[in-house]
Formats: sequence, C-alpha cells, structure tokens
Amino acid sequence: MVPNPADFTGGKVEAVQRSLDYMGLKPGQKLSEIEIDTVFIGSCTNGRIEDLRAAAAILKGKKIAVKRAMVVPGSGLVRAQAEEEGLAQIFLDAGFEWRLAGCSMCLAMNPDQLAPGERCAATSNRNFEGRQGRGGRTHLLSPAMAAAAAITGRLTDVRTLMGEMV
Amino acid sequence: MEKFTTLTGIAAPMPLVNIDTDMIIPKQFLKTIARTGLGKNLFDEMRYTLDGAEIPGFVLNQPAYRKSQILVAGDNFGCGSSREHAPWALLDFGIRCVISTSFADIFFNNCFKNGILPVVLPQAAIDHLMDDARKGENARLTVDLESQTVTASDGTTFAFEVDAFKKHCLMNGLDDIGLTMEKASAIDTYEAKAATLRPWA
Repeated sequence: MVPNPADFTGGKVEAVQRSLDYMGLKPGQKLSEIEIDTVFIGSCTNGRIEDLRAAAAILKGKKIAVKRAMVVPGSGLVRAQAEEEGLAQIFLDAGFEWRLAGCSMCLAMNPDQLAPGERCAATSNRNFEGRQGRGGRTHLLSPAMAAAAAITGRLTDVRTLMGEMV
Repeated sequence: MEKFTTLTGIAAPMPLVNIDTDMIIPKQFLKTIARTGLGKNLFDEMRYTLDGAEIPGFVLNQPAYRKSQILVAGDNFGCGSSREHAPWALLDFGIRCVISTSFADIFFNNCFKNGILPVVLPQAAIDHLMDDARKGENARLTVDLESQTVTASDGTTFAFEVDAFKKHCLMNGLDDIGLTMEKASAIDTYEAKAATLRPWA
C-alpha cells in the first residue's frame, strides 16, 4: 500500500508528499495496481549470475507485457556464463533485450533513459528524482520481482507466479 | 584549494530533507573531470525547465539569492551517489558553506577536500537560521571557522563542532595534495637518498 504523508512527522511529511507527486501515486493505492512501462534488470547491483538465474526462473516460457525490458549483466564474465547456462535465451525469448555489461539505466548517462512520467521496475540501487531520466519514475525491487512485473505489466508479488517453486 | 576562515554572505533556504547528489548535479553533467563550470547546472532539474528556461520559484533563481554563498538545508544533505561533482558544482556556483542537521558521509568529507565547510547544527538552530535565510539578501549569516560559530542577522550565535584536523586543513586551504606538498622537501630528500641507495629502482 502506498503510504500517506499524514502518517509521518516533521520534514518527512513534505518529503513524502513530494515523492508521491513525483511518482504519480496516491496514498492508500495498492502496489499491485501500479502499471509498469519498462523493466530494467542488472547493472553492477543485482547483476550477479544468481540474480539472472532467479529472474530467468520466473520468465521461462513467458512473454513480457511491458513496453521495454532489458537485462544488463553485472560483468562480461557473468554475461558469458549466463549465455552458457541458457539464461540469455530465456530472456530473449521472453522479449528482453540482452545487453552488454555496464551502468546502463542505473545511471542513465547513456541513451538508456526513461521519458518523463515513464514508470520503471528496476533492480538497480537508486530511485532518486530524475535518476533514470528526467521525470522518470523508478520502483526498486529484486530481480525476481522485476521479472514478475515484466510478465504482468504491473508491480506483482512474484510468489503468486511461482506455483510449486515457493 | 581556497582557504576557509570566515564568511559573511547570503544564505539560501532549502528546507527540503534528503537533498541528494542527483538533485545537486544530475548525471548528464558528470562527463567532466574538470572541477569548474558545473555551477550553471547546480540543482539543474529544480532550477530549469526541460527547454532550459529558469524556473522562477526555485530559490537560487530569485534575485535575492542569485549570489548565495551559504545553503541552509533539511536533514541528510548530500545523500546518494559518491560523485565529487556535487561539491564541485556547489563551489563553482559560489556556495562555500552548507548548514544542516546532518550530512551524508562521503559528501561531508568531499566538502572539506574542496574548500566547503559543512556545518552540523541541531534542528532548533536550523529552524532559526532557515527563518533568517528566508529574509533574503538583507539577512546575512556569518560563519567563523576559527571560533566555530554561525551568527544570524539578529546576532544570535550558534556554536558548532568540527574535527580539529579537518579544520586545520580547511583554514589553511590544504586538500590531500596540498597536505602532501607540505612535506615536499622531506619527499625530495628521501627520493635523492633512495636514488643513491637503489639506483636500479
């Protein structure tokens, strides 16, 4: 559930209100109702081979329901190993872009940026205003949760997709 | 590095908490390793519209605050990335002192290495100074590093703590290279001796 600024005190009231305005969210809104445009898995944070395995386990045999989804392995070695293990193919079959290792949309210094108002489920480590592109809205989550959001097109509790894996 | 001894200047009120380094200087300006020229993009996204026009409501765009040398800000100033561009941008704009209840650690230390004094004061003092800063250019704060005090325009004085070594470096304008260069003659002597003892090295 999206928090209410009224439940905070001091300077945090304004900070929470500012965050909600920026993120285009309303107090009390269910997280599972939040629709996602872009999914970004990886960068140095959450780009380990274990992270890619976790995401691929959720994505196997599924298709993405978002505009854009990309995987950026944590290093060239991780990328090579993921290709060897068949993970890269799972991502590609699901509709993800399989990218080279780098900062990509974590820092958005390159053209991998969100448009104003665009909403991203990201496994990177910072969700500051404008971090992934001016006006871009970042939700931080784990690789498995990012994979779940990619499949459903909204923030989703990955456990509801895991069936017997739980 | 420029020394910091005393400073009397205009203070801009920024009551936001958690002003992060992405706000201070967004990533598209990090492609430089020069410490100068970043001032025009300080607080870029709060300060300019997408097409580059000034946003009149932003404090540093207001006539009274365009020459601010001090910021009075909410808790946890400078959180976020470790980018040293954040203090570079503040300094290039002309900010020599930031006053808050708390700072992010890396930003805090980066300030001292770039001639900026970060001052930590309790909330009550921040509230007083914030009100003072809201009075615009008529309200000038005085920050005295030697005596470790901030004096508001009404004469109220607040004492602050600062690490003795950091104070020494800032008062003498010594960054890490400056500190090393203070030992230049000892280094030269050592190098000359080493060259004789180990000519192969």
